[in-house]
Amino acid sequence: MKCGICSRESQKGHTLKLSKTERDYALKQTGEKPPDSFFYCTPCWRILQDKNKGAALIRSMMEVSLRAQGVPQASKIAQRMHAFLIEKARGPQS
Amino acid sequence: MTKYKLPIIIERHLGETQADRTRRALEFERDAISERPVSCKVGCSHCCYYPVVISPLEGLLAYRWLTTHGRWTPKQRTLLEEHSKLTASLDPTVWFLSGIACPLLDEKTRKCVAYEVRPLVCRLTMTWGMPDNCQASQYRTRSPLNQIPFRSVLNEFHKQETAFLKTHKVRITMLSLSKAILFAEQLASGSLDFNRLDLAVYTDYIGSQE
Repeated sequence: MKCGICSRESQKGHTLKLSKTERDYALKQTGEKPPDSFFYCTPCWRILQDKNKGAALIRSMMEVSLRAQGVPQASKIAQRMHAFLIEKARGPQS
Repeated sequence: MTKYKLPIIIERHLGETQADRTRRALEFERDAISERPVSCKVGCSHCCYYPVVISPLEGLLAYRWLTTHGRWTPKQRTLLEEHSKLTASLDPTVWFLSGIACPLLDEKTRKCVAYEVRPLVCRLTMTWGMPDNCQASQYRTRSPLNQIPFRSVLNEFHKQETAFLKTHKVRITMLSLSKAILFAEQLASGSLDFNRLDLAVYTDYIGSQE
């Protein structure tokens, strides 16, 4: 199976299955039916599980992608995503 | 005093590797600076988040230095182990984009704790351009001036190391920096023989896939 992050073929890894709520939300936001599951190889999954490294990876990937598309505010948008992910990873604060 | 348990031929080659590495780095630096001043500054450390792979020989040099200069602490060892687990079999681009600091980077001072014995790839990584363009977020979009080309110098050095290691039945000649230093600990203590290094690395690799 192909890893969704590094695109390498791997036999071992982690598969994330979307719940019905998540599928419906993705369909509503993007207008396209999302994949039923996402596969990540073991090394990439290890990074995604780390709150800080995972957020940094998503931030960097987003910024690189936005820059490649010529979006001028790429850095700020990616930084906001990073802050959002870190806050979500922190969980609910009492 | 630490009792080294490596064969004499390896000990001698370590000395030669150290000298060769220094010579290549000084020549490269002299040639790079003669064109224009490099813009690297102490405390920048953007390149300390790059994937660094080195040979077991450079790992041994780093381990020796850390132990003889009192830097081989339990905390340092833990940082190396954590780094090794996190980066095991990791795709280099993913590694680069994940903000994983080199385990030898002191994140408070932004300096390398083993600067005197840093690997050749670190010695050759210099920039003429804007230092901020060395950040991971600038990947694929940064100015071509940013990294002074060094691949030919590094490849030549690795070719020599690989030739030497093959005479000792070692075929896995490049490891992540953390793994190279951790295996160096085993090699230097005598708990691992050089000619069993491949098997140890392979076993470690299989374990990291679980």
